[in-house]
Amino acid sequence: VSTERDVNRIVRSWLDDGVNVLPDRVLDAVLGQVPATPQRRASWLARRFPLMNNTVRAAALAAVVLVAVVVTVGLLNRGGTGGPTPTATPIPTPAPILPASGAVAPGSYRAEFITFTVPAGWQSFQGEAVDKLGGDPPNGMAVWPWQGIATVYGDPCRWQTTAHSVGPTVDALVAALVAQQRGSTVTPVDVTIDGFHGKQVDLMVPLDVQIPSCDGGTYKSWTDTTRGDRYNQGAGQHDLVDVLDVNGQTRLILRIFYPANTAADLAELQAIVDSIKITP
Amino acid sequence: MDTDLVRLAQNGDKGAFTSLAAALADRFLAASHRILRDLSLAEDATQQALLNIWRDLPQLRDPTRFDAWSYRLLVRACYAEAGRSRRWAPNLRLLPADEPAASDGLGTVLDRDQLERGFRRLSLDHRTVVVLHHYLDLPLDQVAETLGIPVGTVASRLHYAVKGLRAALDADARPAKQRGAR
Repeated sequence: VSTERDVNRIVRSWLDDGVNVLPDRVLDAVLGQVPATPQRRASWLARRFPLMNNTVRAAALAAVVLVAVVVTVGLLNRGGTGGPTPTATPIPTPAPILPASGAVAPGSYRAEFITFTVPAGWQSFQGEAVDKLGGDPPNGMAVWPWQGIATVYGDPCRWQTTAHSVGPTVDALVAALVAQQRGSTVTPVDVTIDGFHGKQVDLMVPLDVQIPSCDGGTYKSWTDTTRGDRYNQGAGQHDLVDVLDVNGQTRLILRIFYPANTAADLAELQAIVDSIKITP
Repeated sequence: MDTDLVRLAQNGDKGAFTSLAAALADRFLAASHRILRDLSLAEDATQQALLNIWRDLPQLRDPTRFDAWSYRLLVRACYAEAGRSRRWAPNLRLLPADEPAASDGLGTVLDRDQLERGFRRLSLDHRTVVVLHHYLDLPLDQVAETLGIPVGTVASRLHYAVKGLRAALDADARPAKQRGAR
């Protein structure tokens, strides 16, 4: 590299490579938060009012009074017709989109393709999952929807040399997950969530695995087409995966927990999963 | 940016803001991704910046300055995301350094790898100036307006950033020659 001009040219070329399209879900999350986000009125807007002269101010006041009178009279007249009062048809309000981060108030939220209800003490992870205690050992938990799994690793610890692509069906994905080398047998069982059927597999990280010694220091199960990788946070961690057929599309509900989680913890986790409504 | 849309959104028109946000979204992600080098952080920064634009838009006095103002909010969001702890983020992924080089005639795989490493070693201040100037093609005075710093400071940061990247590329060239000599 000889000149600064060369470096600039290389840097510009290098910067041209990269992601250029924001996923719709991110923009949807922004627009979903707008109604609940008040705009900060500028102080310089407020300062406009003293600039009004008295005539304008009086005219504005008169206009406001006139509108109020007209509205009031209209309402009184409508009430005097004697007919039956129409009953408004209730319109179901969709649950708000899960915030991008931070603690979430108890209630229902939307994330990815699911709507679910969380109790107190949970937080948002990137607006796509909810977790408790960060999902970290020894007793964190999480519920996390996934889709578009494209790659599964035959050995999650040696993922650099065992990656293989998977077909788009529930059976293909379940077969790939069951075949992963985990030091224990994984047996799929039938599962149904919100009327959608599929298979559930319990993918446990072996207790004796030394994750820092795995490829790249991570124990990685799969990679999807848009977001990235699922890798685990500690030995003994359970990834309980519900692989569902949602109108021909494969969808995953991943719940995360550890051996140290109590029965009450797991009941709380199950309650969230039980509340899930899937948007096909 | 359409100043009429900006004015409407300033006055609470959500439809106008939707149009504004849609027009900014991809550009914001591209810029923040290049500054932060992490897709997940970049998405979070973009989301936060767009929401902050909605919230603070009434405080923008001159709608013709919307572009610089909005980029300033994006840069602030990038700084905030860069400082955020990410304990179990699954999406940290280097931009692909192992893919075939584009046909720029200079970008070998090693160049790109070294650039990635060199860029990550730069401070956020330096990365931001590089991206605003070399990726978004903003002239130095607009970079200065965006960041709220003097033009001289922008030029200085750019100089040292490019110097750092040049050093990274040169560092790559030296061992390559040694390997070739064996």
